[in-house]
Amino acid sequence: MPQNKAFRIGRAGQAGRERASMSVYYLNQWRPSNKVSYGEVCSLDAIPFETQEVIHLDAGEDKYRLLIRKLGEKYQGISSNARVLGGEPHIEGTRVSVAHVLRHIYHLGSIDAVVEEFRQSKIGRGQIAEAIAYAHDFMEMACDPSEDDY
Amino acid sequence: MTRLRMITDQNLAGLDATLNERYPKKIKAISALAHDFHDYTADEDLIRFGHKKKYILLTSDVKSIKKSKYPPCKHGGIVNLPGMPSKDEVLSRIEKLIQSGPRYLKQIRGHFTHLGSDGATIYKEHGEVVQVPFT
Repeated sequence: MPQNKAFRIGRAGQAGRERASMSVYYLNQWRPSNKVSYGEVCSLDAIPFETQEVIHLDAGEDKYRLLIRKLGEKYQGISSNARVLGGEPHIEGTRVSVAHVLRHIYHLGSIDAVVEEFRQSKIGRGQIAEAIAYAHDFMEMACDPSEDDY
Repeated sequence: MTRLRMITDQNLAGLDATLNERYPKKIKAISALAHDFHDYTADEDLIRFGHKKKYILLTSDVKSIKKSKYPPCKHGGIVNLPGMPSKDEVLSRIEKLIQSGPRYLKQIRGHFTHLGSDGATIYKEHGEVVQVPFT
C-alpha cells in the first residue's frame, strides 16, 4: 500500500518531515483522484520515541540560551558569563549561581538564613530575592515558550 | 601527617571557617573571597590561583569545573561535590574522606576527585582511577 510506504519514509526531524511531505506529494501525483492529506500519512506518532526526545533537546538548547540573555536584561543583578560557572546565571560579581541560592533555601528554609550563610560574600536579601524571581520567570517562560515571552 | 590546603568556592558559603575549626590538624582552608582575590570569580582564574599557591579547590560546580576541561596534574587539585549537598552533608563527606587515611588524602593533590556520599573517585594522570570506598 502506498500509504504504508509513506509511513516508512517519514523519519524524525525537519528533514524527515520534508521527506514525508514529499512522499505525500508523490502519492498525490500517483492518485490525483484520491488525495491524501499530510496528517493521514505522517504524524509525530509515527516517529520513534527516542528520536523525538533528541529533537526536543536540540531545539530547546538555543531557546534556553536566548531566555538567559533576555532575563539578564530584565534582572540587572543576575549575569551570565561563559567564564564564570560555565555560563550559569549567577549573582553579579560573585560565584553564587541562581541554582546555588535555591539549593541553600531548600536546605536552610528561609531567605534570612541564606543571607546569614553568605554573610562573608556580602550578598543581601535583595539579591537573594532577585535570584528567586529570576528562577520563577525562567521556569514560567521555559514551560510556556511562546514568541511574546522572549 | 598529611595536611590539605584547600580553597573553598564562594558558593560553599562559610565552609572554610568550619573546616579550620573542625580539622585544624588535617585541613588548612581559605575562602575564595579571602586575601586579595576578590576578583577571582572566573573558573579559570580560580583554578590558576589554586595551582600557583598549591591549594586544592573544593567546589560544587560539577557542570563548569569538569575533569575533561581541567585534567589531572594541570592544577593544584580539584574536589568536586556532585549532587545537591547541604553544608552538613559536605562536612560529612569530607570527614569520611579524612577517615579514609593519609594514603588516599595524599593522592588528592593535583588530581581531580569526585567526592560523593558513598565514596570518592580520584582521577589521576594517564587515566588512572582510584576508588575510595567509605565504610
